[in-house]
This record gives sequence, structure tokens and C-alpha cells, in this order.
Amino acid sequence: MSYKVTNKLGNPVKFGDTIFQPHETKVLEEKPTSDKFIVEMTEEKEEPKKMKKVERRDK
Amino acid sequence: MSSQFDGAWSETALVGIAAQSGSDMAFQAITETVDIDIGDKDFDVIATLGGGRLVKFTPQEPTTITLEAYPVEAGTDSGTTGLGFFDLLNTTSASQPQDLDVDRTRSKYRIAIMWTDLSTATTANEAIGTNNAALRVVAAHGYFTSVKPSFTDGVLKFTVTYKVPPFDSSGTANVAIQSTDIAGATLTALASYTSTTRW
Repeated sequence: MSYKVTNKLGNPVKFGDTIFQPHETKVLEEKPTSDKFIVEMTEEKEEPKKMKKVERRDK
Repeated sequence: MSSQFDGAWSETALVGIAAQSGSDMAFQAITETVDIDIGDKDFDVIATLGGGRLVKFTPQEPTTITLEAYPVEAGTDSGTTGLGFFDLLNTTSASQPQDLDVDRTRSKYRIAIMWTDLSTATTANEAIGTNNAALRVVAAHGYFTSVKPSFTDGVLKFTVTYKVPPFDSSGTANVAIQSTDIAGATLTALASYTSTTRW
């Protein structure tokens, strides 16, 4: 699971070793709980659907 | 929380600090004293040969607000309750453990100090309606210039200094003093602090 994390503040914010510049967005594996961030879940990549085999009917 | 209002404000006050686009954080629970040094609008006097005096105005000095406080953390990683001051001087941390390195970051903050007799008031930025009195000093677009811990008396006390010029580069005021009397109109809440909105 990954998260799209945006620094809400007009000031830089540190999350662990990652520094977010004002209003910068980064994708993180860990979900921050601080209210200094806007956190959105990133959409999982959907696997291409396998086509079902359709048997041809004999005419 | 309410200040005692019997001819003078006494005992308690509300202290709020906000980063740009951030929530107001309440610091009164860990603050003991507040000193507000509104910048002087001084002047020099030029003595003329005829014995008269000419006034030469000097530009207004910066305003300085000094807090004495007892935080137990390095900074405030989250929430609306202020926990520490080093993150106001350097890049703020948003996770535990907090690791605030000294850096060259200079971040703008707003500080509001309010005295009110409204017993339910909990934040310095909130509105005070009719039938209650309040006095509020608010300064925006300023910087924390000093955070000095001291353990001389056996208790870890921080002396914190916030400094703001009276105007920005366009001449717009950075400091306001607001009040309402008991019979007066509502003292409106401070708007959220942003790069363009001071209060």
C-alpha cells in the first residue's frame, strides 16, 4: 500500500528522513498520522483482465 | 479558561501559534509569561541654531514577543496543542521520534495572545461574542529568532523570542491589537493564517 502525501503547510515539514517542501506532494509507503499532511491512498494498478475463452459453437 | 477582569486583565491568557496554512496550536498550558514589546515609533530631535527643535521621525522598530515556557518535547509533531518550540526555529517534524536538525530554514508564523472573560474560550484565535470582553494582540509574517532552554533553577524552562517587522515589503501591517468591551460587538475569530491572509 502506498500513500500520496501532501504537506499542508507553507513551511517545510520533516517526516522521518523525508523533507517535504511547502505544499509538496510525495508518495510514501508509510501512512503519516500528523495533521500537517493531506493523505490520500494511491490507486492500485489493476491487472489486465484475462479474456475468457469462448468456445465456438458448431453451426 | 477565562482571565480575571476586574479593572485589569490578570492571571490567565490564551496563546496561539500557527504556521502558514497550518492549524492554530494552543501553547497556554505550557507557558508561564508573555512579554510583548510593540516596536517603538521613535523620533530624533534636531536642535536648530535658533534654539528650536525639529522632529525627525525614525521608522517603527520590529515587534518582539517573548514567552517563558515549560515544554517537554522538541516540537509539535501533530495536533492543535503546542508541545515544543525547536520546530518553530527549524524545519518542523511530523513524526515521532522527533529529530530536529539545525538548518537554514526561516519559516513564517503567526502568534496571537488573548485575554478574555469568556470562561469557555480555549484558543486565542476564536471569536468572542457580545456580553464578553477580550483583548487580543496578533502578529503575523514574523519569525522565531531564539529558543533558549535553561536548567539553572532545576526545571527546564525555555525562553522563546518571536520577532516581526511592523509591515511587509508592500507596507501592509503585520501587527494588530484588537478588543471588544462587554457591551460591544463580537470580536471575530481570526481567519486561517496563509501567505496572503494574516488574521
